Amino acid sequence: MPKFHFLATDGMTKIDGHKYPHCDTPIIKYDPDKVYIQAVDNKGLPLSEMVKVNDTVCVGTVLGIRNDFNLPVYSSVSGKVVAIEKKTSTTVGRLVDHFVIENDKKYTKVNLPKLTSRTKEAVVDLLKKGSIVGLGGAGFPTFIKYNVKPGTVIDTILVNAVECEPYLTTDYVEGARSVNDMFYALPILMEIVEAKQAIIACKENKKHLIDAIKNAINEHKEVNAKLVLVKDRYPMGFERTLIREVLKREYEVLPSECHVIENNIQTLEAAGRLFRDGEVITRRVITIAGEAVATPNNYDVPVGTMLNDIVVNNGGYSCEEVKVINGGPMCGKAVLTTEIPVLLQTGGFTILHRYDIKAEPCWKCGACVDHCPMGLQPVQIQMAINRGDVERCHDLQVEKCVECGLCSFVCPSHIDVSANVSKAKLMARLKFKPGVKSQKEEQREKIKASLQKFKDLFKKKTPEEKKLIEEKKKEAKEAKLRSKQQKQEVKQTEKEGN
Amino acid sequence: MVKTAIQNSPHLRGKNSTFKMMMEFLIVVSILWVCSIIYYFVGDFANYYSVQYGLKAIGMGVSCVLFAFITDAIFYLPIFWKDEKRLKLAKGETRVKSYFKKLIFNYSYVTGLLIALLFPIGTPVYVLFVCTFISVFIFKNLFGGFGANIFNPAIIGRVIGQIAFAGQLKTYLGENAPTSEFLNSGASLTSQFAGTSNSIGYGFSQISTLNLFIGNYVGTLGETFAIVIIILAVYLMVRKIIDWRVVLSFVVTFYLTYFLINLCSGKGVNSFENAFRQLCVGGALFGAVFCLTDPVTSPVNRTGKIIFATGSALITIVIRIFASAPEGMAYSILVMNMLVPMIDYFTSERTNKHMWKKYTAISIIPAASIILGCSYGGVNYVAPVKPVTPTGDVVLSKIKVSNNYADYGHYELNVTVGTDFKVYQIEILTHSYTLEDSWIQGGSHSHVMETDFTEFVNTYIPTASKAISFATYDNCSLSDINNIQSNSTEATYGLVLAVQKAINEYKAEYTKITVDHKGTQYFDSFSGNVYINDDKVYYTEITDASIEMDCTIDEFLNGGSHTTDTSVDSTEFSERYINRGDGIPFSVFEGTKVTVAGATITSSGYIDFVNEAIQQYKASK
Repeated sequence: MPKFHFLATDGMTKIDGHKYPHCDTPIIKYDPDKVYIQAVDNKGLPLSEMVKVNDTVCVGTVLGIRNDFNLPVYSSVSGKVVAIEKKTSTTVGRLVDHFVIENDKKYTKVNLPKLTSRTKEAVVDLLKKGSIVGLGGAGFPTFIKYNVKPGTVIDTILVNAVECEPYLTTDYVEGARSVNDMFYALPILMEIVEAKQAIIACKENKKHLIDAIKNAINEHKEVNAKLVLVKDRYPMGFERTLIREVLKREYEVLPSECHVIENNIQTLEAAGRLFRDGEVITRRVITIAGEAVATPNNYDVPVGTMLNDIVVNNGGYSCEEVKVINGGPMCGKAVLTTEIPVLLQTGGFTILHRYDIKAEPCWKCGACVDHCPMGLQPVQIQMAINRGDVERCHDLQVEKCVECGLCSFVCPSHIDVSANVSKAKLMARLKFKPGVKSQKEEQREKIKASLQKFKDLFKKKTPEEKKLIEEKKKEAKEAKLRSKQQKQEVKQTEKEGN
Repeated sequence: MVKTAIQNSPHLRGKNSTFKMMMEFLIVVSILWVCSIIYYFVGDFANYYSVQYGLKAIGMGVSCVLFAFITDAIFYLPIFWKDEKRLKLAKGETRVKSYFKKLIFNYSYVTGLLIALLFPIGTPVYVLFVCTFISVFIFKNLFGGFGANIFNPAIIGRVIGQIAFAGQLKTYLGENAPTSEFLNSGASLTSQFAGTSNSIGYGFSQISTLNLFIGNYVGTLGETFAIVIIILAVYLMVRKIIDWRVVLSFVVTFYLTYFLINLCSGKGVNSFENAFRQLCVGGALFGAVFCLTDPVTSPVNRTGKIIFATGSALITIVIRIFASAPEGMAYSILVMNMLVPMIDYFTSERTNKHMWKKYTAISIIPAASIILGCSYGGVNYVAPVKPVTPTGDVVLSKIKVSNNYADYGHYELNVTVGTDFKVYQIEILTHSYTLEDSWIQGGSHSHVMETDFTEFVNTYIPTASKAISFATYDNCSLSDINNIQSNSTEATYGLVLAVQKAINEYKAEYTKITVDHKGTQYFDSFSGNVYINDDKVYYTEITDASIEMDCTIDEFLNGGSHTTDTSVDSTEFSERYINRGDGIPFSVFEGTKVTVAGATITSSGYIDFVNEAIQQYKASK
């Protein structure tokens, strides 16, 4: 895709990052008295092989096994399981069971066995046992990405250190701190998927991280790794947009279609620690920032720490009514309570003021169309869903939406475009499951089929095909003759009858 | 514990807002309005003082904005009269407050100001009221208010005025048009050239290109200031309030098509200027910058916007050259407004996919413009008249004259004259009358098809086979022209006057000696002018002669026989003494006894007459 397209979308927009000053301040270590670890999987089903109340646990003890991906859930502190309480889960979206573990602050550790053989099976197995998930925010299990089907060619591992969401700085801080761990994991992972190169994508303006990565690349010259700087734009850090921007490739469902595996920088660092020491993820660096907290900062906390505890013990809130957002402000969802525990994949919380802007009528200026990174037309989708036309939404390819929220951001009339588009996406997904086709698609297929017929007419035919066609013609002639004879017979019988 | 709120993501919003953009647009439009106010205050107008013109310009803008506001107030009053529950008011908002908010956020006053700028200065206030009321009430609010209207309300108002009150739209105050320079009817300049059979870059040529560019003429309030509109457009495009694609693709298509029409019909270098003039008049620029770019009534994606703008440019041109309707711009905007949903539908696929399809789609319309331009221009092709190839040593020179007579019209000519004092070619660059281009090749120049101008053309228009001597024009008067052709128009005399001007300009390069020569006998007296340059005699202009001969003075000077005696051949005389183009040195005349064959006393009188002039010339030096 050429850089300047005066017909296509701009795709990316510069957004004020709000990353100062907390991106340069030292990380604060915080040890809570209690941690709350989710006792259900992402679908809301209880874990299997759960520990019982009053059991003593260490850092790295398996609390249970998730049913959705068979991933173990580890304890992040040492101490005693006090109770199982109902707390709000951001992944399930309602009150679910949580282990409550009292922290004895000794942090006695139980480590997994280290990686011994560099075979694909061993590595994938360890990734699964170590419960490594995508730490960029999605929480997608990493072992699935590396358990590639035989025959799939992977040539690149793309390391995502872009972090385009405003306010969040964990990748920047934690990524730079333990970048060498990543270079332990990279050669192993590249070996098992037979990738030729690793590309580390980073924003132009993240100086410390760039320096750290450059130094690490110089130290580890045996790894074919390359640093690619991208512009400070939103949404640069999304999987699709980053692969399109860096590698100029596009895919439909999974990045492996275009021979790429994409990982967050922290995921690979965690994988490196797992391979080297057998350490599982028990602590996270999270950003708590926003206008409504007194001291925005990065905190090094055990998984399961309550958000409210961290904020109250480190400066508190700066106003009465706040809006807690799980993740960054652009695509993070607001949650109803401050009593939410830190999950494995949590990158941070943004806490903002409540604001109310009255929307003006849409004047079809096309700002959302000009900025959509996927080239969709949000205004048309919005108009279609407002009149309940899900089929039209499907024809407008609403399923391609990445829900980056840019359409709402740029809208001069302050309409919740992205909310409407998400609604349309959900409805279109429900109505048009794979195999169900809209009228327009059917028409298109018909046209294609007829075009194919037309093309076949002009194709060069092998003698066998010619014979077949001639036989068909003969049959058709005979059938005609037969029908004629029958008609004549009918007529004759009629005449005779008369 | 703190309270928590739940809202939709994203939780950050851009700083841009519709209100800010509309206010900036309003300010930009009012700059244009201020320009027109200044022009009407400063300008020199007959009938009334220019102060009255200026006050009218202010009044029009203010009243239109007021009318739009009142219309909105009337429309929304019943809605806000209902009980409060139905209105779904926000917290802490009263009914009155939300009512006034609605009035402000409906942006009808912007429409009002645009309508004011689309009408000429002489429009009565009640016309403005009716147009504003209909456009805002019916075509904006009934469709659903701001953001839901199909047609551009300002253009709708203008078109209603054009249709219903065509007579009232005047470019002057008072009852009668003050001078012929004022456009006497219709809103804009384009209405003046409506009805002409040929509109290729012609018409409205009383106003020079510079004046068209800076807006030094009367038209509608806003459309005349081309340079101001261009500056404002650049500002709006940089601020991203209007889309540069719309304006640029309109202007490029429009200019390209008119340029091709002019080029293919044989206008040569003038095509550049003529196409630019077309862009300046008739509100083309105003419409492209302020009306076509209205986001509400234009497609949402970039491909659609380009198709929309280029289509509008083409329809404008088609209306201007075929339908001869004055407001081609307005109608074309309305037509394209109707097509917007269709354009949106057909360009609704992802904007960064299938680029070749999009490039094909937007390249069809420029192709159409090229076809339209070339074919229409080609059909109306007029070959430039070939000049007469001069005989002998005649040196040709081209003189450009422009002449403006109140009664006989305006001409801009290239006249080619030779040193033998003959007109070799007349090229008409611009003229104010409804002429066919083929006229100078002998065709008719009048709407009245029965009128035959062959004789006029034969006498006064040089062709490829004959040049016409200066004397023919010099001696021509209006009665002469009427004698030649009873139906002859004022335009024909205007042309002769313009050529006379060119001839006089040319003659001024020569030293003119006026002599009244008294001969020895009654038939060898001459009086007239002798034109001398570089010690050579170029031309004699005989105003009075006492000669008795069978030929006119004209024929005599052209080398005809001047005696009754048919046996006498005066060819040698005229070859020696009558100029053929390179001038005759003084020495030929000086001290000459007429000895050549065919010389008579008359001819010797002519030589004495020239000699007298030479002596006078030498004495004056």
